Amino acid sequence: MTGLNGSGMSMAILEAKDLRRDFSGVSALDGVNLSAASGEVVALLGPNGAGKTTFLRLARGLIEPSGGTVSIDGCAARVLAARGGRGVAAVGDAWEPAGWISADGLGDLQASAGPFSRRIYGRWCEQLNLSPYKAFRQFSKGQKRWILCGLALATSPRLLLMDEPADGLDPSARLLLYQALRAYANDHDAAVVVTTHICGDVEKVADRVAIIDRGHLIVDAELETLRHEVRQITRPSEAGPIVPGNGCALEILGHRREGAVDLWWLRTSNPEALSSLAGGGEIRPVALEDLYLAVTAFRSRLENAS
Amino acid sequence: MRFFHPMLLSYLGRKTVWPTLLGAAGLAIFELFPSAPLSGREMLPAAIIVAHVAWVSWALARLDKGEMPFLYTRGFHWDVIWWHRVAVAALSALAAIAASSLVLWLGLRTAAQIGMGDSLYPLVARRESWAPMYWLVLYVLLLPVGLYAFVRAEHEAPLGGLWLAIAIGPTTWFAWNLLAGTAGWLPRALMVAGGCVVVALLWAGQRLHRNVEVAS
Amino acid sequence: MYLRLDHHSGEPIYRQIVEAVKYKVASGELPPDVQLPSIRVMAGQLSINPRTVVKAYEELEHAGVVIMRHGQGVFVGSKHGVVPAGVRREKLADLARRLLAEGARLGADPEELMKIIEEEARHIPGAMEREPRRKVRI
Repeated sequence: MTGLNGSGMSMAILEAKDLRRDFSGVSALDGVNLSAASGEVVALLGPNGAGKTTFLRLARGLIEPSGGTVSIDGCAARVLAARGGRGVAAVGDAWEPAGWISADGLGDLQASAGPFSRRIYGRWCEQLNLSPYKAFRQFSKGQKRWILCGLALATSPRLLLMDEPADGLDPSARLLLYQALRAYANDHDAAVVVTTHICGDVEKVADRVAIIDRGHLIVDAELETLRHEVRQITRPSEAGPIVPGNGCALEILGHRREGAVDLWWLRTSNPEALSSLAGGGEIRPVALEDLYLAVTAFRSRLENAS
Repeated sequence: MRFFHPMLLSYLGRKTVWPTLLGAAGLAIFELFPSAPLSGREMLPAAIIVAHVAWVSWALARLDKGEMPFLYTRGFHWDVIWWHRVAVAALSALAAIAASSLVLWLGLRTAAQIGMGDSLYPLVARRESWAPMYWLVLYVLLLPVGLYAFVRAEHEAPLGGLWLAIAIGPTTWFAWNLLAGTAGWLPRALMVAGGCVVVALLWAGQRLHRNVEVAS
Repeated sequence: MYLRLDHHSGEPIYRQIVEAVKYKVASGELPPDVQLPSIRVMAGQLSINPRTVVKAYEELEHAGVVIMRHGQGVFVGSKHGVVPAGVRREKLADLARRLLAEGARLGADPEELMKIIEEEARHIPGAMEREPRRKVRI
């Protein structure tokens, strides 16, 4: 399973090092270092245009990096893709077949291309009661996405790359999908990379979150670690800025002033020691959405100031 | 690696239905009318064939915005996709040739001509059966050019090579056309040259295709 | 074993599992020597990474609530092996402190909190059987 006997090391399946991609001189991704190991679900979180889709295309080998490397099991993504990309399955935003083909026909096409379980695919489509013989164009956006996810899962890949896979799905289908992705990663020791701009979804499914902002990775951490280490402190503004003392390592992630009160978002490996800093103020755990907003706002302010 | 994928063939083939109809119907209908014996080197069929080739190449390369990333991420080796594109284009051309051949061999042209009161028939019929073969040669020369041109365009490479490719095919055809009546080694040499160009274009196309950036 | 997790609270999942199991053990829902679901099964049921379950089970073992028996599985500690009295008192006192602080923040005084505790306790099977309603002295 996932290295439970103390070793704790699982194999990195996807590895991006210093990955860069420019489009017409504009940098879409810059110096991105990201990896996904077996049994791990990594969420790439960021707004539209941050570079998530570009990352996915690079990871799947559809486009060439402008700098750096991205490889799957040691093989360059581009090389792997030209050979067919066995072992990698991707569901991209608007990557769709011609409208006339049916779900059944898609199964035939996929089966022709490589290993494929019709049983898994069939059961998957049945979960949402999707007719195998209806033309693809007649399905709703979410249903289309569901079918494509099923195609991907039924090929039993080592690496799943999914661009907003839950887009268009209602909450119950969303949940089913994320549970399926989680179960897949657990049972097959596969790596799953999911991009999304919805923090709640990240919290439901991911082990690690990588926050991407305008082509840069600004946070890359395990969710459990973030939950453990990140706190929000509220204290009176007159107390001034927070100063870490007594060898307590502290990282300030965000700050906002609300009237007479300062809100601080901090990360520390020793959260128990924070009470002295709070000076009577409140210390709270931080939900991912809060963290995300605080970090991106803070980053903007820092950039504007410099 | 399996080389032949009927599902892939039919998936791509569906895109070429209209251009195939253009070619097949165009040539077939054209054949019914000229009162002069068909030489196979008339201008109108040549134009129809050029249009057919251009349309087929475009249809196979264009693949709606999101369709290309979808197809190229199914697991097919990209060379396999290229050769299936070539195969589909070839089948489209063969369909047009078959249609026009049938019109001649089944005597439809003869019947139409007699109906229009032409005195040359049925004496000339046999000589005309070769006309579709000339058209086949034209397809063989032009299709690789069309396919190559479009994969080159996908590559966002400079157009210089594209124009060269476009020039070679028809130039070879016309040169051969001019010399077709001539005896000697020149026509054959040009045929061989044409064959080399065809192979070169398809091979170059495969190589370019392998490195294509799949847009979305 | 049914556990409800809150993925959005900012509370580490492993800790939520630990607290939930501790509660179930303390309330009697998980009697001594009963076997907990395997790591795999638990991870599947809760839809989380098995590593998180491992962390939770390890912490539970560290706290003396469960015992991981090599090759057999994870079991609730036997009656006498449960958390030592001193540690137990400390943990309960800490819990009480946190409850009182949160309650104060919400504007509830200790008396109101006591009433609510009694209310909730009625829902626990067998919890109130031993002693009849006793006047609680502050």
